[in-house]
Amino acid sequence: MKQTITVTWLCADGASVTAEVPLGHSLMEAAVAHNVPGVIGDCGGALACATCHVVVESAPIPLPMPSATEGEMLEFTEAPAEPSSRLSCQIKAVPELNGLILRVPGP
Amino acid sequence: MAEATTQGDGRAMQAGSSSIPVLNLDPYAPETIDNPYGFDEALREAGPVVWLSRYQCYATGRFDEAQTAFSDDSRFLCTAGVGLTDIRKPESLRDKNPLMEVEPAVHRRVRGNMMKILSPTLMRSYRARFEEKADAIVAQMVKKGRFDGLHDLVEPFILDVFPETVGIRINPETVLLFGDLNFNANGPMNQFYKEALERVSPHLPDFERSFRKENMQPGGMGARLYEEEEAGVFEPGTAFGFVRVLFRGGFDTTIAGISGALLALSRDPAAWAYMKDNPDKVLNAFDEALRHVSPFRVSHRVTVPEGCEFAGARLEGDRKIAIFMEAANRDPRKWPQADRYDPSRAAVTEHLAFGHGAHKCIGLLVARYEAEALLRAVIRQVDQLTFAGESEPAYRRINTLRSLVDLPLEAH
Ligand code: HEM
Repeated sequence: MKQTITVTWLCADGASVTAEVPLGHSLMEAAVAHNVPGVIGDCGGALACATCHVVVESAPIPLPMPSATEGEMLEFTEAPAEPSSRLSCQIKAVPELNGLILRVPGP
Repeated sequence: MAEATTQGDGRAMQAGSSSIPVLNLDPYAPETIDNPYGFDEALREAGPVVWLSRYQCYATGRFDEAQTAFSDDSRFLCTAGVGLTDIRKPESLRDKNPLMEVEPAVHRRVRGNMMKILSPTLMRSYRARFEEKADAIVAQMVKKGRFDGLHDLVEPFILDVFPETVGIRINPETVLLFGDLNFNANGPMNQFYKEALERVSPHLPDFERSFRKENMQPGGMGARLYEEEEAGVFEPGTAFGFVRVLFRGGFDTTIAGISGALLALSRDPAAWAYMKDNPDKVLNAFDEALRHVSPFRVSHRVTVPEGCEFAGARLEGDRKIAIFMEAANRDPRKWPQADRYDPSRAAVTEHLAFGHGAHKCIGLLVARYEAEALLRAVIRQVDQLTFAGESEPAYRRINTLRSLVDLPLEAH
């Protein structure tokens, strides 16, 4: 079985980054590793900083619902949260998400 | 060095705990405090969970088990205190911390309300000030060339920015004494604890006054906590405890963590070169320092009254379990080349130095932004950072905090 999934980030400046993300890795980690601008991860994935904010543009299956804490943290994002906003430290690469497209909201 | 046996003392043989290895070592003996890694290895290798016979509690030093013990509140609770002694018993002189040492449901509510005050938006607003101050103090050090990275750099920096961040006024002359007492009190009531108590007692009333309402700075976190208490968001009388736990939890730990990162960078040319090439990865240098030498050595939980299954064993109810983050953060099952400081390692943020689960450090973003500002200034302004000590670096003798005695450095 393939050990990675393909994920695309649409950046605020119009560019995009597509990368192979190893299964089990968080999409915050993956974005930081591929220098996706605007995904920072100051707290290291502890659900404490809201700097890994992304908007789900297109997902092959619906993502699991955000936890209550993630919902609260989405109030503290730099760009205003949208209905399909997520904190990407909380999204793990699983085979079903192959082809996921995320947008990084601009300032 | 390991003295693990499976028969052990009477206590350990009770209630189906015979499968749990007994460890007769003392994690708080002076020589272990000076160099704990032999103990940590013995703890890890004795088993996933052991009985620490000297202190009549369970203990774990493995990564997976430590993570579970921190986060599974169906088995492990904070209600007996996160120190070694049971705060429900009169002989424990510690008072209950109204954020941590409460029922899970109370904790969730209180923490949720505190997070609204300690919000990332507020934390981000401090960054520019941290950076400005860090740049200035590091420039002074570079001018000096040779300096004490702890007493001349990290301590004055944190003393400058942290009380202001919490929004309190403290006495800079005595504040450095208190870490001894706080972090000794989380361990056994041994000589270290008694000596710290004696040293610190005369200054305690003054220190405690810093957390009172009249000493809150307008607009600071502390003032907001008192306002919310008045508005009925928090129970009457709890704001004092919140302000106190924020300050006590965030002062000595951050000093220890940042000075630890400077020590590691000054002794490892490969790590220093990596940071010079990757200055935007400065938080990795901090995370790796916290993993490699965890300031907060050990925390505790208590088993639920009915007892529980854990790591293939049956634990008795209402018993403390010591969670050695220091050992878990060097568990070779999780970390390749665990004894090596390597800011470029994979999963560098997954250490347990900030805890794990519902109680994971609420102030970690403050600590991270402070560390980022200071370490970034050092990496930017200094070409070569070298350890200038004549002997191995020494750590203070404090039961549960690993913090340097001093840190002679040279910067070019
Ligand atoms: C490098 C610096 C720091 C380290 C290593 C550290 C470590 C920890 C650890 C291990 C815990 C969890 C203990 C447990 O679950 O038993 C914790 C919780 C806590 N920390 Fe920190 N901390 C640091 C900085 C700070 C700062 C800067 C603040 C305040 C602004 C702070 C305030 C707290 C509070 C209030 C808790 C309790 C949280 C709760 O129970 O929900 N800490 N810290």
